[in-house]
Amino acid sequence: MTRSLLSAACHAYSVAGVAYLVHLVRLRGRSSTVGALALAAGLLLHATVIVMRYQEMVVTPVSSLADGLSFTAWLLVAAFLILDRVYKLPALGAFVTPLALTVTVSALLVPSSPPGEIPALLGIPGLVAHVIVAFLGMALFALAGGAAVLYLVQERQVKGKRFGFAFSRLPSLEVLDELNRRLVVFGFAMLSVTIATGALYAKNRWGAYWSWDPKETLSLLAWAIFGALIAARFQGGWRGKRVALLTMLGLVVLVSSWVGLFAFPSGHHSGSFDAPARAVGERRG
Amino acid sequence: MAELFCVGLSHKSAPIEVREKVAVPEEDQAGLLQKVAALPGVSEAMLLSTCNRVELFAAVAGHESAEAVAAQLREKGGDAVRPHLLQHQGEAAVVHLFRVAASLDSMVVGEPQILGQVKDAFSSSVAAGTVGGELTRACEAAFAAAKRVRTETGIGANAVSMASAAVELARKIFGDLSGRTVLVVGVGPMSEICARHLGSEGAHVRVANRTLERAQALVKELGGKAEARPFTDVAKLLTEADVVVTSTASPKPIFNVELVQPALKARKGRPLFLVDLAVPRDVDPAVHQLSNVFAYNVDDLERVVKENLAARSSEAARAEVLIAEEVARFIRSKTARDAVPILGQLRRRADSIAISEAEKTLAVLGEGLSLRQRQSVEAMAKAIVNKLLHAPTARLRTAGEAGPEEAARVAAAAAELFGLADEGPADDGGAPEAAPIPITRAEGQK
Repeated sequence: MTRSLLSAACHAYSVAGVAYLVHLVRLRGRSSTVGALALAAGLLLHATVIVMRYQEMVVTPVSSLADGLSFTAWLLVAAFLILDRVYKLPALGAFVTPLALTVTVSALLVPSSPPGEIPALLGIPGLVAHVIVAFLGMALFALAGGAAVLYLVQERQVKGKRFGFAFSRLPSLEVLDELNRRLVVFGFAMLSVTIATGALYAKNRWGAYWSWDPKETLSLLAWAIFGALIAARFQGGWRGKRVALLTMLGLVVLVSSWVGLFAFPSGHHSGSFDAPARAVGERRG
Repeated sequence: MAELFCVGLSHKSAPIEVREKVAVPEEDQAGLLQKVAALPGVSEAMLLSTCNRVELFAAVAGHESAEAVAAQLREKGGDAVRPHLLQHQGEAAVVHLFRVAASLDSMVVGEPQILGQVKDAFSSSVAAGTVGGELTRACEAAFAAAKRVRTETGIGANAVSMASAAVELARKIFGDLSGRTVLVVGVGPMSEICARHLGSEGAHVRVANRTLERAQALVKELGGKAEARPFTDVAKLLTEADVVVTSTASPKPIFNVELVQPALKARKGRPLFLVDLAVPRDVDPAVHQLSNVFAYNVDDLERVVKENLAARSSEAARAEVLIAEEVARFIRSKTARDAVPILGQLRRRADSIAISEAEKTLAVLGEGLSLRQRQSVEAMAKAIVNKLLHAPTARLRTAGEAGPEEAARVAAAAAELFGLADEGPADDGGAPEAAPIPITRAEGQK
């Protein structure tokens, strides 16, 4: 049931993606509206899936890798739709929608835990906030990365005095820069909360705030990059291209810290999704 | 059956000396229109007179009345005009009207004014009382098609003058220009146009010039929030400006890295857009290399304009496809309407039979019937007619929508079966399905 609903959401996302691409190529106002409507429809279906999974699992909406991916994609789409309402950014939709679709499809492909089997680590209250905030931060940074890409494309055209296909389709440099600023600031706040709650939880559970597992290290690096970026913007007057490039660097580090979640066999986070009992057993627990 | 006809000349067929010969002063337009509409076989007329074209549109009954309309313009312009006049009739005239309204026939393809001019021409023809169903339908369809072209193609998307290219670039950098500050350095005709364009976008304009008086004169002309500043303040003004438009006669660049770099620091990284209209240049090319600084000179703007023109012509090709679609749709619905007169004949024939038969019956029955009974007899006669005509009416309508051949075939069959062939040509005035004719037309005929 949830699988077919989720696949229906994927279809809605595909329709939205095609509509946004058509908008980008042919500049049709109507197709961006179609895109937003399809995306909203997908978002509703997707939300139903998440709620149903939550009820099945009794714990959090993100207690398996599949659920985590699905939840991230949902947050990404939701955040984009809000941004699009405020800033009118159909061009960003052409980037965000395929991304959300890819993540949702991977969620469909990854085997999800059977209902009722509660991953031990996530079964503990308090960690729910940590995980949800982490996903939200990820979605915000993904959007910031999208805005940074658009900025770089647009800046290249204005600076190079060569106006290609994307010139009239993209928002102005200032709008993109401002968007980047807000997304990075909010994302940074989420990341800070994630790290802080994570550390508190680790102290509670394992007796140490920090254990330098690969995920922690990379997350901290990403946090430092975004922190420096914000400081440079507000103190040093950094703007535009440099900021966009740094955002993308930070995003790459952040994403690799997430890959680390599944790739590195040791560390607190390794067991979060797939082998909770083992992870707890091996560590100090 | 009335069809659309168009005669006139435009920048494509005639030079300005010829165009001015046929140009109709505004106060004479209504008179000309009424004269044209009164010609035999001509039912409606509309005049489109702009600096690039003088065109007379009319609804005519056939070739002869079309010639009579064309003769009006020929008479007005004399021999010099004759070889330049272009005529379109029927579908070709519809295509022409649609293309003109969509700005595909304009000197600068995609320029936005023409649609407004066609709309004005239409409403003054309405005011003159020379517009009826044909022109109203054709113009409304043309306006809708023009709107579709504008929203669905990029035909009007890009700037095609240097000043508007500068504004477009400024918008691509800053987004909304209202509240931004524009610094105009050096007063000249081009910088004045730029200042005007930027000012109308809501930007604050400051003018600095070597002679303050000329700056003040420009500020006065710009009005609003514009202010004049002494030239010596330029370095300080640079820290506050978002867009700089410069066109001084200075032989050496004024805006070099030494001047701009410190200003950038004070600007906290806000982007700076320099529009250099001067030759020799006022902005050192090295300035463009600084981050968040964008400097464009005359050649750059010229190239933007050229590229935009090229982009417009490729969008125009897409617009032509849309127009062809819209014309085809319009022609289809016109054909459907044109098939309607046979319906009118059918209806009139049937009604007259019903009325006369009802009268006969009532005469036989005599005076003994109550009013209500008489009415029932009449109602029954009408009901029989309506029921009987329902199927053929529906069939004729669908045939009309299917295309001219099908319409003609079914109409001929109906005429033969119902014995309508001897009734003479249709006059759509009495047909219930005939297009509503605006009241203004009736007034015009008085």
